[in-house]
Amino acid sequence: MEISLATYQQAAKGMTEESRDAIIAYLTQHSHGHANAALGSGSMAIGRRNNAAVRVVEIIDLAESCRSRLPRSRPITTNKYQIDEEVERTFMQLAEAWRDETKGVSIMRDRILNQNYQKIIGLGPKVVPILIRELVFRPDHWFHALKMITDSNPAGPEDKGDFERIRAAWIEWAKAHRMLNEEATRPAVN
Amino acid sequence: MKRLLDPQLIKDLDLSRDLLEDCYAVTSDKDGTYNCLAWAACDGLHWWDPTDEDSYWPKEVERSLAPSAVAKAFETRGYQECLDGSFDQDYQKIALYGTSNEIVHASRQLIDGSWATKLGPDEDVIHASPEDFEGRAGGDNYGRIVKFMQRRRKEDDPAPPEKSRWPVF
Repeated sequence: MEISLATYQQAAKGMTEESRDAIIAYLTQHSHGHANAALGSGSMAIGRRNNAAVRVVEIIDLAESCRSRLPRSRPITTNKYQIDEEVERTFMQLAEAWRDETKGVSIMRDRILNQNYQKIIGLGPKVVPILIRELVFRPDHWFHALKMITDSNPAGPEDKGDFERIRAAWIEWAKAHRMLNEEATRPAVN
Repeated sequence: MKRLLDPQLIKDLDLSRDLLEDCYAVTSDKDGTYNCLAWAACDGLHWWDPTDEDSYWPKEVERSLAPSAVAKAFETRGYQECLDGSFDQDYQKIALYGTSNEIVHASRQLIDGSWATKLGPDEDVIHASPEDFEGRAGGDNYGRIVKFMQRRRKEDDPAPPEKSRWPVF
């Protein structure tokens, strides 16, 4: 997604949902190093020409500031995998019911055949970024749902039964699919 | 009706297992990395489950919850079928719960004669006798005890994990 200077200028004037999303998208796509390098070379020349370079620096500073104020329990996602709030609400209700109804159940067959888990699978691709976020911040057994929805299985045979390795494999998968960046998987400081 | 005891209270009062009769105590945080079958086999790192291809199950054993298959899985860790769950300081005993068709739960006898149980992805608990968890417990129906198995105790049997290994954010 290409972000125009006008969008950044809008961000500089005042925070709106739209400009916040634009900033998130920009920061997801560009590391600090990338941004600095761009400003330090060709972009600086262009910036001098249209007096925009300083503006861009200010806006990136603002964007960083905005990012630090975002809720840390919510990973940064690209627009393609933006979390759908209605799906998120439904998921949270189903997940709570699933945990409650399968409390103490050790057999995965019985855990995933629970109606609430099946309904979560039924939410389809829109629930994938939510499941990934859950794996990052509140790990649980979402591997089967992810496999069913995405038709992928990033875990290897050597990972069988090892929750942490399977979880790590799915988080890497999510990064490769641009659902997460490094920042989103960094623990919040309290 | 079983009563839930505060583990700190048990520790503080140094309660004997006689006083734990008809009670159980939570001894860990919730941890979804391992389940009751793993915990019975002293494995606090894997989820043992023949019904899920991503879960651990001994390679040489049929992926089935049939009592014979589950017993074979434990045989790979040195357990052999035995008569009952009576205490023997030289042997570590386990109880397999379920029906004549399938095993859905397991617990392990500790060195003091009490029993350790992992409740699915939730907490570890200790209880006085294996029968304490026959029938309905939490949201699960653990059935009845179908088999007891035992193996010689080892000095390096793993200690229970003190804390959940899930990351704290």
